[in-house]
Amino acid sequence: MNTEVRVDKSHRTITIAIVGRFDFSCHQAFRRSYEGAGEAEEYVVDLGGTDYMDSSALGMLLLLREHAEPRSKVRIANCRPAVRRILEIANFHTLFAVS
Amino acid sequence: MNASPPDTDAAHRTSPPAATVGQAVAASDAAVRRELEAIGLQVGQARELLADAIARLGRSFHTLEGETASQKEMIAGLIDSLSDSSTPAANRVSIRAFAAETSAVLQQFTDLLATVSRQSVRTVYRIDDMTQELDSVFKLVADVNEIAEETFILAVNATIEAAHAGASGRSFSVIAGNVRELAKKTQRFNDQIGDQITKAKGTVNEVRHIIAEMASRDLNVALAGKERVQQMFEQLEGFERFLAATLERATGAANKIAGATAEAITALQCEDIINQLLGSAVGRTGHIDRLLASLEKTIASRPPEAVNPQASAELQALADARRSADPDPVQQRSMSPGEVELF
Repeated sequence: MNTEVRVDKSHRTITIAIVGRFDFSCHQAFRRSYEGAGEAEEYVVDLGGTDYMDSSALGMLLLLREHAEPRSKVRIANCRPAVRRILEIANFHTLFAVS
Repeated sequence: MNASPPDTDAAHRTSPPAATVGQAVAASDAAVRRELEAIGLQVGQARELLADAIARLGRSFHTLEGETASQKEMIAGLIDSLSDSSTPAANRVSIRAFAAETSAVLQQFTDLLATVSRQSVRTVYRIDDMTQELDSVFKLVADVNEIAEETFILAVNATIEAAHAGASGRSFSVIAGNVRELAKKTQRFNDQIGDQITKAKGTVNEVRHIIAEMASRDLNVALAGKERVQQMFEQLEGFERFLAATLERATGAANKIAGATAEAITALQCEDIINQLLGSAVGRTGHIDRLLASLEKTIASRPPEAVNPQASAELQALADARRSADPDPVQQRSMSPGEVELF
């Protein structure tokens, strides 16, 4: 379970990178990365290093979106094919900008 | 070759060949008349067979017409039930509509997974907050314990001072003793509070684990399911297209059959014309008969003339040969399947 949550706060953008499995074990680190960080214009969730996502990841992303909207946007970037398929069946491409 | 019935012509066969022209003509006429009679018989037969055959053909083609029409109706009914634009909806077999509905249900199910996860994770965030608050209570309890500890020490010091004060310090000593007791009780209560909070934290952790499990659903089963369903729909749609195309071709074929049948029914109208032609041919044989009779009379009115013996013998032979031929070679009177013979 080598999950890392890396946070980068610069130019009013908060980038949260998940390396390894994006599952329940990330929930505290994920939350800490944006709560209490003040307002950002954009939140970017970088899934370039993510090889697995379960439904708890969907829950975490939805809560991030609740926190961000309506002032800011949440973008999900660098999805691998397997992760992208999961986002598509969950219809997340209609809620987030997915790339 | 059928055997001829015993005939009364036997006498003719053994009579000598014609000697005069008049006799030769008479013999020749008789032979021709026999042929004309046979022609009449056979034409009559032909007309009977023709009438029967055409009646059967007519019935067959009308049956074919009827069946083709009902076939076209059935195909049209199938095509209607497949198409989206037809009404009434109750009879519609729309694979597309079914696919859309099932897709929607699958989507609802997946959305539910995401929603349950969101609520679960949110709950865990609240539990984490609660754990922090419980830890704050722990800290307060520790602070209270400190105060109780200091109170106890103060009470002990007070007791010592009271002892120094002697008799006047005795009541004070009692009070100090009570305060020591209270301090001790406080610490015992604090310990109990600490235990309860520890239990509460334990329970809260259990709850967190339960929710964590609920929130962590592997999505690959849903993903595989959705992809499989998608495949099935594509196959079903392909089948529906194939069905529609085949029904169109079937309609085309049915139309061609109907056209060909109509042509055949029209062609059967030949019966009238053929009957007329046959009737006219028989009429001509009657005419030939009368011409022969007239010729005989003309020859008979002349003085007798000798005939060439060779020519006369040839004529005799011809007449004999034809006489023994069967005037009715085809026995059939109708085209019914039982009567068809190979001849």
